[in-house]
Amino acid sequence: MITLDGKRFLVAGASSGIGAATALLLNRLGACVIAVARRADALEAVRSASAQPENFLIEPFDLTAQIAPLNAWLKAIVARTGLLDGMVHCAGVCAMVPLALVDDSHLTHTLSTNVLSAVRLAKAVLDRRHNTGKGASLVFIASTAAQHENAGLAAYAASKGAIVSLVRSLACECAPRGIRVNALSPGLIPTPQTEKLFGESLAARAALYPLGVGTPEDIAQTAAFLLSPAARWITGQNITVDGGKGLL
Amino acid sequence: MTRFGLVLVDRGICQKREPMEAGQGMTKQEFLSLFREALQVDREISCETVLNTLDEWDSLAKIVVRGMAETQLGKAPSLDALTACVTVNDVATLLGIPG
Repeated sequence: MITLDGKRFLVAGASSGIGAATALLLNRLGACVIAVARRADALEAVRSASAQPENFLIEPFDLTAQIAPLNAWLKAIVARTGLLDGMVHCAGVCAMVPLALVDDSHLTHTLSTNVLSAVRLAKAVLDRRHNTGKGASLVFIASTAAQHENAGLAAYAASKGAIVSLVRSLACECAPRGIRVNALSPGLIPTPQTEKLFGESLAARAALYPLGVGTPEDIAQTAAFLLSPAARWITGQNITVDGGKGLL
Repeated sequence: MTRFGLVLVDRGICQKREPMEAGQGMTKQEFLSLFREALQVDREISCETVLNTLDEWDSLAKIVVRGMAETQLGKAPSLDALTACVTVNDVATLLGIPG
């Protein structure tokens, strides 16, 4: 059983789906969680389900829009709560848009939310004054869409491929400081976002998974492992969690 | 401005401005403040600090300091020259900061 007692993690995109499940699990495992998303009411709803609400701090913030104040914002959080042991970046958007309909607005929105916000947040968290240094761990949620065929997901797949590449570079940069950086690529996970994306075809897609469909909790468990000292020799990896679909 | 300079501006470590003559207008205190920001440390660093005693003084930190020098002073010392520095004061001297 992993324990994260005394650890402190920031979870971005914690208001729903994988982000919410990750924030709740880390909190249940003993960690203090700084839950970040745009909507305070949604974060509040997640906190109401937490095992240790006093250790579940909500910080409404828009990582795609509040760019200039990001570093100062995190500095203030750290001053209030203490140095971070790591973070999980779950913030993301996904829309099925055939290439013929892809425009700059769609590209910018997807890349800004899925990639640029991840880089900006990593930069702030990796500031030496904001994290505990050796033993700290960063996890980015990528997607199997970066590895496998998925028609109509050009911008999304490209953004998740960028996350995998980002992780490799950051892992090299951070290894001398003893900080680990990994990506986690979920297969299809029923969340409000994927249900909206796939609609009625979700059930048919789920049938393609040898172990059946996954849950946000399955992804959260792997994230918790990567954040824990048990994963101390793992960095720069993209861990696929897809119920065996990649085998087919 | 090269990418090193842009990185520093983007990180909020430096303000973008026209390069000046090496060292012109920057005091030793201002240099120390920028040097600490570049290394992301809050603790005190003096001109006498021996660089090798700073955990933060690694190859990436040297690139950051070079970017800082480029942005603020219009001077881009080689990484070899930075590596040859023994104390913080050696870096200041390399960048033409007046004593």
